[in-house]
Amino acid sequence: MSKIATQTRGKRPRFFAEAGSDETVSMLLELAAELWTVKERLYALERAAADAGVELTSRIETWQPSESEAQELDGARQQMIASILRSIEGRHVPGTHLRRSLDAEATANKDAALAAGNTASGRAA
Amino acid sequence: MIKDLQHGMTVTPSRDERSRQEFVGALRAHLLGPMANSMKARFETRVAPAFERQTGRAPATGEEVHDLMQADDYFRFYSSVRYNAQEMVFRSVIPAVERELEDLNQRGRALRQDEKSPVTVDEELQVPRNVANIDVHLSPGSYHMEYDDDDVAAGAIYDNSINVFAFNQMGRNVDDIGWTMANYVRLKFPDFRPERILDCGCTIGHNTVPWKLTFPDGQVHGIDVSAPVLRYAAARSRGFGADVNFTQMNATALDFPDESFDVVFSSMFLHELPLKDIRAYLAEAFRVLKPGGLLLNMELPPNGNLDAYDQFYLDWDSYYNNEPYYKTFRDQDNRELCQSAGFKPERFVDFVAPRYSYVGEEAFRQEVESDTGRFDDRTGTLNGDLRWYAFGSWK
Repeated sequence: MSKIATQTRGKRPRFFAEAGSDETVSMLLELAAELWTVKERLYALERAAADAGVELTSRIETWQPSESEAQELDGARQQMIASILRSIEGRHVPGTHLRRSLDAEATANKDAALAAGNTASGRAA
Repeated sequence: MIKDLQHGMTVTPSRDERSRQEFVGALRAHLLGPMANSMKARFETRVAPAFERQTGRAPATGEEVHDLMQADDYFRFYSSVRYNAQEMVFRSVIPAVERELEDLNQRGRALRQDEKSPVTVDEELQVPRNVANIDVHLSPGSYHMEYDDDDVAAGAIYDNSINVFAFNQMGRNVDDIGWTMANYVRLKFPDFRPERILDCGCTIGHNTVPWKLTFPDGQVHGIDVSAPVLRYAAARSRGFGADVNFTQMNATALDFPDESFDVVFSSMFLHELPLKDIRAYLAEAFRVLKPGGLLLNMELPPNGNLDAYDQFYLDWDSYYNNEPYYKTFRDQDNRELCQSAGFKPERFVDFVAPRYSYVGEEAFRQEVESDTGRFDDRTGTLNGDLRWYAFGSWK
């Protein structure tokens, strides 16, 4: 728990009419800041390794994945792209199992609700 | 890269915290440079022409431009990103201050043992509502919050946050305003040798120290309503070997005798005050100035000197950055403000000057002597060739 106040008092302004848009900008910027710290840390890692006599930078540049490593990277890359773009893809998102199972759950719930409604109205069977 | 501050009260951010600070500084540079330019172009090529087609005239005021821009997508993204960037400034510096707070407070105590920069805290002083009740420019805890005995947290947060906020545009130790103002006085008025100088609303003394270093024979005082920033200021000033007296005091009720100062100075201070407090401060400045003394307030430029778009652009802070008094102040006629405090209108002074610590002594001297200072979109904006505005009066 932080001792120094970290939250600004008062209401945050909203710049977009659409619900969630302001929060999305905040999330994107926080993510970008995190991404930058990772990039800078990797850069520092290469330099620190060089200082310790390990030339990582050139090894990274000339590094070639093995066949299985390449497959692993291909899958992970595709997964990341699909995850980032999942919100505009609707129900069928290749590789995003979580979304698919959520969709399946929603369909099941809808079916169950329909079935319950039908029973209550006495129109079932 | 954001440069480390150079005094005895610095903190050491972690590698990741430093990267975050660099990111936020770079984000602000992008916002206030390329994005600000795009937004202005968007206004000129789309928003203003559409308004003119409808009404047969150009938008006349900053408020009118603001009303129009609120419907513009680019403005919304600019504002949203800028608001977040402001929050992220504080988020990027608070963790290191929090981690080192005990040590900072201890270092502050040790540095203040050197009695050359005494700090006088007034336990009875009521922190005014304009500081206590809002987190000014979104700074969590505002300027005055205290967390411990001999606390300096608010000072450290202020110093480190401006350093990120300014992305190297406001001086090596975020002190260029002080350097520019003190050197303007030295070069513009060579016969004027101030013996006693007062900086009102001085916070961490970043712009007070340059006065002492520019006029080493002068006695320099800094006052503020917040104790933690003054404790920090006194410790910080030791790092520059500058002897400054720091006292917790409200500028609207100065505890100094009549006619006791040659210079009464403030920087980025008036826009934080309700108008009645600005008037009270100016009246107090008039009272404590010696005849022949100089009042000088570095500030954002008044709306009356800017076109409608630039008014709107600078007023952004008033609408979205917890600066509720900023626009009211910038809507005033500064000559009239001085006059109503007792100063003679013909003794009014105002100017726009380049940044002393960036252009150097010779270029600065030439600009000061040629008096070419003009209001334009470089005045007070962190975009390119920045210039500072100031106004005041001789008594």
